[in-house]
Amino acid sequence: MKKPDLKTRSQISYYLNLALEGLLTDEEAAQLNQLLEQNDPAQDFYLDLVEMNYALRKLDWTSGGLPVEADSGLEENLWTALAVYEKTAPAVEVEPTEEPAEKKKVSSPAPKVEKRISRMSIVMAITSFAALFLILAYVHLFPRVYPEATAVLLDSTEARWANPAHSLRAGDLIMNTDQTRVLLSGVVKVRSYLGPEVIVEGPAHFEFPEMEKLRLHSGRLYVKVPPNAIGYTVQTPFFSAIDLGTEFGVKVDVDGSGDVHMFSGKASIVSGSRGQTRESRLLNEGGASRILKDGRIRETLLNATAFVREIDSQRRVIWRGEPVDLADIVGGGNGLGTGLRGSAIDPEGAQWYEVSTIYTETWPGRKPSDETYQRISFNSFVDGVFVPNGETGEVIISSAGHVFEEAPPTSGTYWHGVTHWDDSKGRSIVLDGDRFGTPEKTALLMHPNLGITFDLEAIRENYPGRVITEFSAFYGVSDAYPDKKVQPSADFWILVDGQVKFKKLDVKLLQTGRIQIPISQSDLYLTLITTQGRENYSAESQHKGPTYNDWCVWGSPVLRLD
Amino acid sequence: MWTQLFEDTLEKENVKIEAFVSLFASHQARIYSFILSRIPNFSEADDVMQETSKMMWIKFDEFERGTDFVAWGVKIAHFRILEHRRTRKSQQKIHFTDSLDREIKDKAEKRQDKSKEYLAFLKDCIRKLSPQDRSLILLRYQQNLKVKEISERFGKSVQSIYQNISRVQGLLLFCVKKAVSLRVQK
Repeated sequence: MKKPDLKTRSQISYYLNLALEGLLTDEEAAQLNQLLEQNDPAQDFYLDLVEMNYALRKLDWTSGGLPVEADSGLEENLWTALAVYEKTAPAVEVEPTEEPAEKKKVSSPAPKVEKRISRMSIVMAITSFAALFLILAYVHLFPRVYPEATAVLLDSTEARWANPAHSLRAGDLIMNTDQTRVLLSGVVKVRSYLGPEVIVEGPAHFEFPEMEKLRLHSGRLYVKVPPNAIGYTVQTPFFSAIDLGTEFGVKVDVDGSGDVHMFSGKASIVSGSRGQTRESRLLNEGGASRILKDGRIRETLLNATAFVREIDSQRRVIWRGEPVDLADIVGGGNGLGTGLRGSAIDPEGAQWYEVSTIYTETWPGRKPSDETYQRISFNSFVDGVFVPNGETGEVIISSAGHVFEEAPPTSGTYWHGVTHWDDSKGRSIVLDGDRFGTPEKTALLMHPNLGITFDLEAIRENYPGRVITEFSAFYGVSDAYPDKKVQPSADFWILVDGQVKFKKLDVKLLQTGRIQIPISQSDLYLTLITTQGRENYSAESQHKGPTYNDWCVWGSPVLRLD
Repeated sequence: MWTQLFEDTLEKENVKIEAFVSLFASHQARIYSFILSRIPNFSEADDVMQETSKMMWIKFDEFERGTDFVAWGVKIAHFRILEHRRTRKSQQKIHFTDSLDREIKDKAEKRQDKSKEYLAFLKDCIRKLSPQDRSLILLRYQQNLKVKEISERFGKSVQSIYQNISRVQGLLLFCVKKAVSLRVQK
């Protein structure tokens, strides 16, 4: 690992020394933050310095042949100044250190005392021992609970608490002595003392009475337990789920019955209340159990989206395990349904617009005034858009400069932008009998010739600890446009980091299919492209361009996370 | 009978105290360094260390003998740090961002115990410093003078003393690392 350069090292050292004495200014503190943020070597250097400062402070200067006085090697004027300081320094009154002269001992024979033990002393001794025993017994039977933090709140979104005094903000501690908290609504993310992260969804009654345990009286929560905290337990009124290295969700109904859903790893479920085990069961990944109030455990089906598994209040993310919807992202959302259906990104000027009126009128195909790759600044998940045309040279398809090597020649014209289709605003899009453009089954409408590139790394940042495993979508040409005189024909392309992963050429009306493209952790850009089919392209023909009924659709275009 | 019970209790307590003191003395450097890395202010780190050691003693019965004492202590220290910040006792100017604080915490937790030779190497490196540099370190750490005091005594600016101390610390770090790597090669 490359160590930080000399300038950085000097700055870190300088700021740390100021901080150690409490003299760092806010501005300097911010600069130190900046130097250390996401800089592994700088952080290592900082920690080396901290350890050395401690070692120097605690060093035994009287051993190991160290000089215990400063050398006379400092600049001469410094020592002159020191001499002046010492001569002019106020006198310090020193306490006499000599021991007072020992008093002369006068020896005289001690009078003989008859040893007698009074009855009172014996009673007192017995009483004292009895009292001591009682104290020890009390301490043993009723150990004092020392208030200590068992968890810390990491994040919350729209949290409403029954008791305002119990409300928590990010960074607030949850103590073992706290009363049961009642979260009326919203979601909170908590990290337990031992490391497990817990996401509680309101309404819920819960507490963190111990480091290794949380208690859920009612409501639902999701737990992600790191390997070092195996054994972490979620206790409910009628059952406990004991982690064996897992991610699982627990739901407790008002009557005390509940479910455990196992998303990864294993957990042991023990039913019964007040220490009386009724049944126990090992629950494996992908399994789920329903625990009845009388202690019986029954199998049930895993509900993959029943629990909030991740939140990020700043990015407005509340993730329940659902895939990230790319149509929603085009609509300005975070991929979880917050975007605006019926909006589009136009390559002309790289603009986002609402399509409320455009599709009710004839919208002529057009060429963009700038044919180069258009970076998108208003949507962090979309890297850019473009109008592909292999006839005019290299087709750049990402901000990293990836090239669409197989780009076919096209007219360079397009109809409408890349659209998050809303079927309530106009025509319905149907692929293979399924209607798309609804909130449940979204659609990206990409009338040729269009391309859009998504920034996978920006999407990953929204889901720390999760991995994008796959892109999947339906594709096809819809019969949304009523004029069937002109036969549509279009090409569908999917590229990852400039490499073609899927292509289907000359797709005709009502021809559909489903695709799944594996995504690896090192993949950075996903590009979707539609181009006009070969049958609609002729260099000699006057009509050179996609037909107006090439309604190319990516149905349910999603990224799956693991 | 009562006397025996009393003596047994005392005996157990003595054994516990000895075990705690022995472990704590061996590992306090790691725990203090962990605190200091996240609260880089000697005065405040001292307070948190005091709270941490107190809590470690109170909870010592829960510590499973033979397991990692430092890891256990660091966990307690972590929550003392959060508590210290929460109760706004902290006057420190340096507040790492949440993500940086997490990174520093994770790294500091994973640091290895400094070998006993580390201190020997450090002393050796101090001896190798130029007389000027060695004097500066002695005044700062052995005589425990604040930088401001050193600067006032010698009529130098505070900033130049800080810069010099930082420079000498860099030399010492380099020297100690080199000594450690040479030992490993041998």
